[in-house]
Amino acid sequence: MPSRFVSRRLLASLLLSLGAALAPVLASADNHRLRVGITLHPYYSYVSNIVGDRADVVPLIPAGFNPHAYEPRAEDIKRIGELDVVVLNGVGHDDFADRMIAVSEKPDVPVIEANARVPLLAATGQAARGAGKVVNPHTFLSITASIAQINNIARELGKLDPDNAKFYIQNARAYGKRLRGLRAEALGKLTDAKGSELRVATIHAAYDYLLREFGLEVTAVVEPAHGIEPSPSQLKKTIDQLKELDVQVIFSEMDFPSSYVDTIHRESGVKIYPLTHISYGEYTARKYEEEMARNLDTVVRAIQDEGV
Amino acid sequence: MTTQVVRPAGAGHESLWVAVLSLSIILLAATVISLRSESHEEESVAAHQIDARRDLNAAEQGIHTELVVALDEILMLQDELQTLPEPQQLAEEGIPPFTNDSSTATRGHHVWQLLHVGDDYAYQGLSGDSAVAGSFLLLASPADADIWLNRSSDVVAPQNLHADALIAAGWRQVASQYDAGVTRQHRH
Repeated sequence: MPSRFVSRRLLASLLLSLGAALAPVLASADNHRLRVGITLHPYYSYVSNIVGDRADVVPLIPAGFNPHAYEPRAEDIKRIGELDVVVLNGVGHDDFADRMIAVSEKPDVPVIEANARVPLLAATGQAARGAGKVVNPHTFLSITASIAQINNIARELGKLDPDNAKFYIQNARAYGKRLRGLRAEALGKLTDAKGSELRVATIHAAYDYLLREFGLEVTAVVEPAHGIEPSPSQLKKTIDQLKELDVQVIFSEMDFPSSYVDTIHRESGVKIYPLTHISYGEYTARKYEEEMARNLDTVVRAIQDEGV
Repeated sequence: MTTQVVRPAGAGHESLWVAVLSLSIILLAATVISLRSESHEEESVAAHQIDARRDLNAAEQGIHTELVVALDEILMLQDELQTLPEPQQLAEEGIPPFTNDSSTATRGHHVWQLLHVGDDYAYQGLSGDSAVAGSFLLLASPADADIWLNRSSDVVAPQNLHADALIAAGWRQVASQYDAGVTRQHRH
């Protein structure tokens, strides 16, 4: 019957178009792009450079929030439900992430401990409370400790996404080489300098890992706790201490400027150089390299200016 | 004149009750705290080891971290070259601490050499100034980085790379522990 024939053809074409519509969905299910959650800006750059265009990198906290004072919000917790893995600093800079993951739709989402193979330093300044058990979480502010984390993240991502494992390792290696280039360039400007004799103070206890690369040790940390300004009596004590220790250089915070830093400069006469903590602004793949290049330049300038 | 002694209504029991209540609050609080407390025992290192965080100075900490990272690169280069790279090759690749830069100068002027002892290989960095940093030994094994330190000023190349022999020769193994921030709720 012609009408039955027509309805069969209609059914067949319907099935065909349904198949065509479903094909990309099924294909993408096969070739599932990994969605990788990160907590801090440097980790966005690390993971973006490792995965290239083969996975998505999703910040847990939106740009513009200070990770030191971040309190989890419902919409940020919701986002964890769509993730395949979360990369953590894990040593004290993103403690909020554990709580967020625990209450999310995916409490068992795999976690990569970026610092698992990094030799950690003890916390300094006020953060050292707790009888030496607190570690300094700012491993991302050093080139060498960053490369250790990048290699570790790439290896762990490869286990979750074996098809791209080799690609991730190659990218991590190329990225590590670029970062080592930044370090070499900075140290190349200091051939004859004796940086280790420089007496250094920092506003925030974040730069020990970075300064180790120059053989420098931090003599004093000024800030009582991150984001908390010292009281006038604490400030006086700090200035006396800087004079007593004969500190030559203070590394301050570029992202969180404070007026008391000017007071310290005025009263103690010690020159101040701002470093960035790389935890402010938009998340970009290039951010880490750009800001670390600036940090390395600043340390080089400080050592050269002091002529030690 | 008659004197009548009037005892207070509570007859001095208030003080007793307040004392009992205070004591019970303290006991309750102490019980709750002791039940909820977690012991954070300091992990001590073995006698032949030295703790990377507490016992190394700034220069040694810098070199130790770089050796841990360098091992990743050494093993990858070994895959490509089918042999372990010489320190010279590592320096050309820009891999610290094998590079010769201002940081080498400020951290003890180490001179690096690939040792071949029996079937074992190790990278030895002899310190030019043991007061600044000790001499290092990185055993080239695919497991986690096995790094040893010797602070004496007259270090000679070891004749045997096994742990007992190294300990006898005055080397100490650098132990590095990973412990997440104490502020964190552990789930790993």
